[in-house]
Amino acid sequence: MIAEALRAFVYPGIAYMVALALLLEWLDRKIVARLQNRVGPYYAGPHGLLQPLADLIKLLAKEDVVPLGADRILFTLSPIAAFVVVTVAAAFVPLASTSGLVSAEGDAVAVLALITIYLLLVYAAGAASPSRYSQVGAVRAAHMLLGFEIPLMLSCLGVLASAGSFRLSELAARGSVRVFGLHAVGFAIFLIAAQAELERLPFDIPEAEQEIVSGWLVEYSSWRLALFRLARDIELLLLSGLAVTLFLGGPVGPSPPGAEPLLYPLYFIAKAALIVFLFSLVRASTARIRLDQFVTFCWRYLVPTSFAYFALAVLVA
Amino acid sequence: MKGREPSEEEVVSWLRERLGGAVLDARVARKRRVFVRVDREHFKTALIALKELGVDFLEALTGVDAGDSIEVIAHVGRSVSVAVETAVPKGDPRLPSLVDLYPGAEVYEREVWEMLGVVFEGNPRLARAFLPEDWPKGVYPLRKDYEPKHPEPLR
Amino acid sequence: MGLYLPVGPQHPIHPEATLIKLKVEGEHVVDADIDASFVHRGIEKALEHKTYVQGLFLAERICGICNVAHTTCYTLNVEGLAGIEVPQRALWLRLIVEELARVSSHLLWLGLLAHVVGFESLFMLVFRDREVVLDLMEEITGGRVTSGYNVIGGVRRDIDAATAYKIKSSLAKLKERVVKYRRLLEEDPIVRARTVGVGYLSPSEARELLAVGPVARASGIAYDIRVNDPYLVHEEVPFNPVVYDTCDAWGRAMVRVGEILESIEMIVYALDHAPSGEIRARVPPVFRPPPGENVTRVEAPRGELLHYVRSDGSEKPYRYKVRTPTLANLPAAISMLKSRGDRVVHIADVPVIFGSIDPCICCTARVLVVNEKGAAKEFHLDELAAKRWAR
Repeated sequence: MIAEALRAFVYPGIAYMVALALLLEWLDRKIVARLQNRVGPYYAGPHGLLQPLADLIKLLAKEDVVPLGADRILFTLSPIAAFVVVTVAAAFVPLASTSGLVSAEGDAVAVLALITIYLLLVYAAGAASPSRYSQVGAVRAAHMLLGFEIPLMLSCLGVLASAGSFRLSELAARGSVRVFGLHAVGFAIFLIAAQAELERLPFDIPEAEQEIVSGWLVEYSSWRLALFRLARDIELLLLSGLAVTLFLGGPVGPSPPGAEPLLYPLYFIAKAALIVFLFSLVRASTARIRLDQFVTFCWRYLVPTSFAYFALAVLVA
Repeated sequence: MKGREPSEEEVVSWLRERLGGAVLDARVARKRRVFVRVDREHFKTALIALKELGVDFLEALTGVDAGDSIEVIAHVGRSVSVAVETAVPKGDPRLPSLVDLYPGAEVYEREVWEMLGVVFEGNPRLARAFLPEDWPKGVYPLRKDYEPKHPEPLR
Repeated sequence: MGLYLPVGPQHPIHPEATLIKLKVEGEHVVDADIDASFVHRGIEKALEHKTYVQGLFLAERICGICNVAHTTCYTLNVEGLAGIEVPQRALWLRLIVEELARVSSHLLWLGLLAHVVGFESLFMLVFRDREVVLDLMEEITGGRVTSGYNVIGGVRRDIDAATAYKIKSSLAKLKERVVKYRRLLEEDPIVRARTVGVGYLSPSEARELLAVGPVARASGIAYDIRVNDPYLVHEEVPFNPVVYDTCDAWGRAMVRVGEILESIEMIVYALDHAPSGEIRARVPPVFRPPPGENVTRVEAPRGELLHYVRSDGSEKPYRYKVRTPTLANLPAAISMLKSRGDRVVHIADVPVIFGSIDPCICCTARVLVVNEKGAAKEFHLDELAAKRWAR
């Protein structure tokens, strides 16, 4: 009982996921800063490692403001639901061993479904706020969904089809790297679609600070904002974890027998860091594209390529 | 830039030719500076005439409170700057609007109206542009009879 | 069914408080108006109550980033009115500092453009490079931004050989960076996607709406006061006005970046060719110019700046008028913000368009705030905002 609870809440459970998520956020901020000739997080903890945690704690100390005219139920539930949804999804991803915290037949599809639910929650979060900026941001988020959802799904399904399994732990156990040949296409599509899903530059359209002042997030403060930001970090962990499992062979690597429980988490962190590095590189070197340009780009290039990839992956398998 | 811009002397002679006695004063102050004074009825005509000559860029509209009258100066020209000046009595501060000649003049006329009270007839949007929303009507800050008071300390 | 979306008066894209009123349908902007009344300070009125020398300090503070343009125009205006002879070397030094301020202003604008299209990295790098220029300004004038350099009669400090050498070597390095930025503007696909074709202003519109500065020069109108009405020693310093005919925000960006390179050339030329001699003609702190008037025009970084002064023979100007380039570009900006036919303006384009005219609202709006009872009161922005929305 106690062991189960520790597994669920501490390692490799929620506490570990949160810590890993914050670590990836730190990595992202540090890389982007260095690429911009800045220092990045520096003071909180060694090399600023504790900065994301410090930011969360600071947010919790702020005043909680619920705007007049907001849908109180949705305004309160959406940050909690967002956090829960991504954490549950991350529970299926193999983070510290060849199996996630939970593993079930078809859990890859469950993860993809949960990602979609998270996006709907983003829309709900924006719609719950009475501010015009939130509404514009929410609509933009929903609009973007039309663009990247299909490529994201198809790139994952292509891998799952060619692997012959819908279970993430099975893919992790096999540990086959799929970044060459046909799967290079799938990998590229997944990376692009993932950045759109994470609302990262060049796709941070729903939260465009310069145009609509943080978009759907603008009215959230204190613990609600903290939960949303944490959910965003866990989402980063989730998608990097998916990329690692599907394309980079999972948290698996050469290891002397018996050392797996120690080395596998480290392999995961290393591979996830590689994915985050790619994301940060893109973020530091691009501008933001416009919503209509994004949707055009998706439907003209990303969707047909992902269909082709999926079809070929199924045939080749 | 289309065409060649006229010289300072050409501007003066053209205006004298076209407007005759309506030109009350005209002088070339120095290189590329001409100051012309016309009567109120011919203010717009002078600007139309200048536009025909090739002086077709309105740079600014200045209003000056000159005691009993308000002087409105239109600065036109790209190379040669011609200041076309006219006076309207304070009791009847009206002038025809220049927006059909220069659409961009709309915002300049708004400013002169707001600050000095000159009504430009025909301006489609003679509304507040620079003063705050709760500014009292009829108070024109750039007139000489308006004196701002120093802010009082609150305590 | 349109949604009224206010962009301002407090908004991350605004360096100053402006209200852009947008009427939007979905993501398309269908109508726009600008309310520039938030930073009005009463400068023209105040100048009537100050002597000419006191007024210089006020003129300098009309705008932080354009302060050199304003003081250049003011001093030339007053000197012309009062018949004060300025030594030749002072004119050359004024030109150097004016062009340096232009480089500083255009680099700031480039960083802001990068920020507006979401290109944070470019913003960071441009501002890092701008530090070079700010350090040079401090070396020459004593201030990084507000220079306090031009005085009536000349300039306050001289540039010695060591400083001249430092300027030239720093600018040489800056030039390499700016050439890279120009290439980036020409080649980066996302920056191009966000600026090419955005904020279209046809040449005829630019002419009708009386656009000035880079806004006009990006629509093919070769209008630059340094060419049309040379002041200081612009007739002796060779330079080419930068003109593009793409009529969009990209063209304006290219014009400004081109002008940075031109200005660097001009500064180097001026440093090599400035004659030696006095830098300042002594002028009494209070003087009475003969009755008369004067008009002076200067090419500020944002466009043509016009100052008009009228003297009645006393020690204070009877009337001082400042017409700033941003005011001249406001009608053009409003026109660019509206969707017309198949030329659609998205909400995301609004900051790019408004930013492409390089707005300096501080320059544009100048008034004192008074309530009904006639008592003057200092208003803070949040107070004003609270009053406004309470109705």
